[in-house]
Amino acid sequence: VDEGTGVISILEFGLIGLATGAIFALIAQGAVLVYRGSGLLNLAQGAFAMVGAYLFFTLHVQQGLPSGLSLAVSVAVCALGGALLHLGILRSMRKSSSLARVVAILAVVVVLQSGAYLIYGQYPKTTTSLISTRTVFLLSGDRLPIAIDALAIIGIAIGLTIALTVLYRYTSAGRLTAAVAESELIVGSLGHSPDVVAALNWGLGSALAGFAGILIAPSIALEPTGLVLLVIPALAAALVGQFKSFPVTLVTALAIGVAESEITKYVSTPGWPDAAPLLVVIAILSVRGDGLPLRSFVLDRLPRVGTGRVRVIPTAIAYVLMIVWVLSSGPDWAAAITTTVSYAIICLSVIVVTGYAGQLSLGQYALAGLAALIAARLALHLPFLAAVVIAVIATAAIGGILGVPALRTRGATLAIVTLGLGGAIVDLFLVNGNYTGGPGGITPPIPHIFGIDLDPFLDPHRYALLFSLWRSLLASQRLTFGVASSGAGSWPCARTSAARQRWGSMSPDRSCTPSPSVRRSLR
Amino acid sequence: VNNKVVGRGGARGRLRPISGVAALGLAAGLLGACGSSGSSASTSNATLSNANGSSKSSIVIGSTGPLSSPIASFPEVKSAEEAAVDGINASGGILGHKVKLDFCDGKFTVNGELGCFRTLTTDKVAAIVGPLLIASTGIPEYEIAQQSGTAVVGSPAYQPGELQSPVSFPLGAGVPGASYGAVAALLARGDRKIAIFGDANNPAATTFAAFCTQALKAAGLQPVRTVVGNTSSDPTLQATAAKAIEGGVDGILITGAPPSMSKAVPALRSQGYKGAISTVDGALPEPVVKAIGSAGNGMLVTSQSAFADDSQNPAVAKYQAEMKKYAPGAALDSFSIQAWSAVQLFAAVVEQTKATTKAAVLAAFKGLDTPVSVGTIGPYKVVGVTSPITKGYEAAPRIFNQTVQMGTVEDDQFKASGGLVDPFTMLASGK
Repeated sequence: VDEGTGVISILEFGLIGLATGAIFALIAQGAVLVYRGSGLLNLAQGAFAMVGAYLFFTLHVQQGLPSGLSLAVSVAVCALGGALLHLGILRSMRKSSSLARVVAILAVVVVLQSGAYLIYGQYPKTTTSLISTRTVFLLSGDRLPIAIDALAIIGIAIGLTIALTVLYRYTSAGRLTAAVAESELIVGSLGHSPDVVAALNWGLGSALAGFAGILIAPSIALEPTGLVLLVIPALAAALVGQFKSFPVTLVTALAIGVAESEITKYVSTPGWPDAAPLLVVIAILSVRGDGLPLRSFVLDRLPRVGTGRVRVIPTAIAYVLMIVWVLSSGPDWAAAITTTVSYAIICLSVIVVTGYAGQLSLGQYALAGLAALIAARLALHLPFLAAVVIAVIATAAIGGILGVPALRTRGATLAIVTLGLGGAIVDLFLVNGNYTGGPGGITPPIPHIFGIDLDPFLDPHRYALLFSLWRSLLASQRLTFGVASSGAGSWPCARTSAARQRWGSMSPDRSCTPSPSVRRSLR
Repeated sequence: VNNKVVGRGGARGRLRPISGVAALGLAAGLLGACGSSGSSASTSNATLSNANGSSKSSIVIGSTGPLSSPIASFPEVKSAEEAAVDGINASGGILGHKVKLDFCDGKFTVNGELGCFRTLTTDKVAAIVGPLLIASTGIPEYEIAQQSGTAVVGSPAYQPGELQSPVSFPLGAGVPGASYGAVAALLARGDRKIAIFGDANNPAATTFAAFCTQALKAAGLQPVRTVVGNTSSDPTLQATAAKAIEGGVDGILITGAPPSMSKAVPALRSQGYKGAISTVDGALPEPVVKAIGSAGNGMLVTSQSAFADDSQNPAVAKYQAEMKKYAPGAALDSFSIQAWSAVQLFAAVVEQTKATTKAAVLAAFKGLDTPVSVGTIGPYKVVGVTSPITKGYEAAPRIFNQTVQMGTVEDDQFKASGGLVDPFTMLASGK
C-alpha cells in the first residue's frame, strides 16, 4: 500500500520530526529562560546540555551512583555553572557591546567543548537512558515506529512548556522576571535585585539544559559536538518566539524538526534538510523585522576601530620584518605564516562588518570558504589573479544578499541569523562533494604572477610572501572602508538614539554620538 | 570617531596609490628574488639524494599520524610501529641493522601532515612507513616524497594521493578495496536491493559511497538509493534511516564518522530494519562498536588486513604478543595492526632485497617481483600487478595487494569469516 509515497510514510517522517523538534524545544526553552532573566542570548545552552550529560555519565555509568542522585547532582552543577557564568563573567560586562558578550559566551562554549574532548576523548560514550529506548510501533504491520524515550521527550517538552508558561505568567517570581525584562532600573528601584533575578534564570535555564542533555544523549550519542550544535535550530525557534513565548517557541521547534524530517524524505540533495527550515525562519525574522528588541540594545556601542589612518613608515618596517621572518624561516613556518595571514585577512572583514558597519556577523568564515571554493573552480579555467578577483566580487554580491536580514535585525539577533546562514552555506556548498571535487578536492593549476610560480606546497616561502603582501595592501585600504562605511557606522548610533527614547533608557551613551551628517538626516 | 575618519581620509587618499605601487614593485622584486628559495630547495634535494637513509648501525624509518589533536588522535599507530620496531630489534634487526623510528605528529591538520612529510624527508629516513593521513588529501605530501625520492610504504590508503603517487606502496587496496569488500559481503548473502548510507560530516563516507556504487555496477546492480545523514538536521539519524530503508531493502552499506556510526546503526534497527548492514573496519573502532551495542551484532565488516582480535592467525598472534610486551595499554584495532603490518612489510622487503638506503629501498619496492608475505595482509608484490581500479570515480593505480578480510561483529568483537579474499575478483566473477 505504502512504498514511501503514502500517508503513513508521511506520518512516519512527521513522527520522527516531532521527536527531533522536541529535542530542539528542550534546548530552546532554556535559552528563553535565560533571555527573559538577563537579556542575553545564551549560545552556551547546548554546551550546558553536554556538561549535564557527561556529568551524569561520569556519576552514574563510571562511578556507579544511583541514577536519581546522579541526575540531581548533574542538574545542580549545571545550574550552579549557569549562575556563576552570569555572576562571574557577564555581570561585569553589562555595559559592554553585544559583540563582547557574545564572544564571551562563545569562549565559554569553546572551553567547555575542549574540556570534554580532553577529558572524555573523541569517541562517543555509551550512557544510560532514564527511559526505555525500546521501539514501539503505533500501527500494526510494524508501521509508525518510535522509541519510547522519544515519545517521552515529546511529552516532557509539552509538559515543560505548559509549566513554564504558568510559572512565568501566574507566579510572583515569573512576573518579577518579566518586569526585569522590561526595565531593570524600575525593578531595582522597587527593591529587587536584577542580578539575583538574572542569576536565578541563568541557573534555571542551565539546569534545564543539563536535564535535556541527560534525556537526549542516549538517542544522539554522547560526544563533544552533537549536543553543542543543537543550539542553532533551538535559538532559531526561540527567535521566532521572540525569546518571550514558550508556546510559540515549542511549536516552532516542532515545526523545524518536522520540516527537516519531511525534507529528508523528499529531497535527496545534501544540505537542504538542514538549511531550508533555517532559511524560512530567517526569512520570517527579516520580513517581520524588529522582532527582538534586545534589552541591551540601548547600551550597545560600537567597538573602537581606530582612526583608519595608516602610518606608512611603521607599516613598511613591519612588512620588511615579516619578509625577513618569512625568508629566514623553514618551510613549515612559511606555511604557518600563510595560514595566519589568511586568517588575518578574514579578520579584516570582521573589522569592516562589525567595526565600521556595527553589525554582528558570525558567518564570515563560511563566506571565506565560499570564496575559496569559487576561486578554486574558476582557477581551473582562468588565470589565478582573474579567478581571485571574480571570486571576491561574487562573494561580495552573495554577502550583500546574506546581509539583507541586517536591514531588519541587529545585534546578537543578527549574530544568530548570520550563524544560521553560514551553516546553510556550509551544508549546501562546502560539504557537498558535487561542488568540492570529491575526495581529492579541487586541484587548481599552480598560480603564476609576473611569470613566477607560486606553488603553496613546494614554494611555501613565495606563497607566504604573496599573502603577507596581500594582507598589507588590504590593510592600507582600510581607509576606503572607513570612509565608505562611516555613514553606515553612524546608522546604528542613530537607531540607538531612537531606541533609547523608545525604551526609556535613562543612561546616556556618550560613546555613540551621531556624526553631523546623520544628525542632519535625523532632523 | 567617525569625524576623525572622514577628516583624515583625504590625506590618506593621496598616499594610498603611492604606497600601493611601491608595495607592488616590492612584491614583484621579492617574489622574483625568492626564486633563490626554490633553488635552495633543489640544492637541498641534491643533498638529500646523496644521503643513504641509514647509518652504520641503524636503519631509520619515518612515520606520521595524529597524536595530539583532541578531535582525532590515533596514538595506537605510533605504539604499534614502536612495538614492531622493538620486536624486530629484539630478534636481531634487519640484516643486522637496528631499526629506529622517527615519528612525527601530524596534529590532524593539513599543515601538520605536510610539515611531517617535509621533516621526514629532510631527516633522511630510508622510507616513510605506515603514515596515517586523515586531514589532507595526501597529494601534496606524496609530491614532496616523490621529489625527495623517498618510498612511502604500507600506508592505509585512506586518501587519493596514496593510491596515485609513483612512490606509494600502500598496504592494500585502501578505501576502494574495503568498499568492494563490503559490497561483495552483501552479494555473497544473496542481497540485491541495497541502499548506501553516507555521512555529511565525513568526506571519506562520500568516497566509500562512490566506490560502493562503482562496485555494485561491476556486479550489474545499482543502489536502491544513497542517503546522506547530517546530524545537524537529524540529530538521531532516525529520519535518514527511515529514508534509507523506505520501500524495503535487503542490505545497507554504511560508513561515517564515529558519532554518526554510533547513531546510524541503532537508528536503522529501531526503524524496524532487520536486514544486513555492511561496513569497513575503519568506521568501527572499539569505542564505536561499544556505543552501537547489541544493534551491531551480525554487522558485516571488511578490512584490508586481518582483524586485530583474530588470534587464530599466527601473524596476528605475533602482533598481539608484541603489542602486549612493548606497547601495553595501546588499542588493538585496525589502525594499530595496519601500522604494525606496514613495518613488517618494510622489513620483509628489505630482508629479501638487501636494500637499506633510501634510493635502494625505493628501487627495491619498484622492482618487487617476488611476493612477500607478512601474514596479516595478502601476498605483496609490485611487478606484474595491475590495479583493478584504473578508471571510474577515482583512479587508483597503486593497488598491489587486492585482498581483504571479511567477517562479522559478534558481542563487540570482529569474527573472521575464512581467510583473506579478493573482492574485485569475487564481484567480477559474480560469486
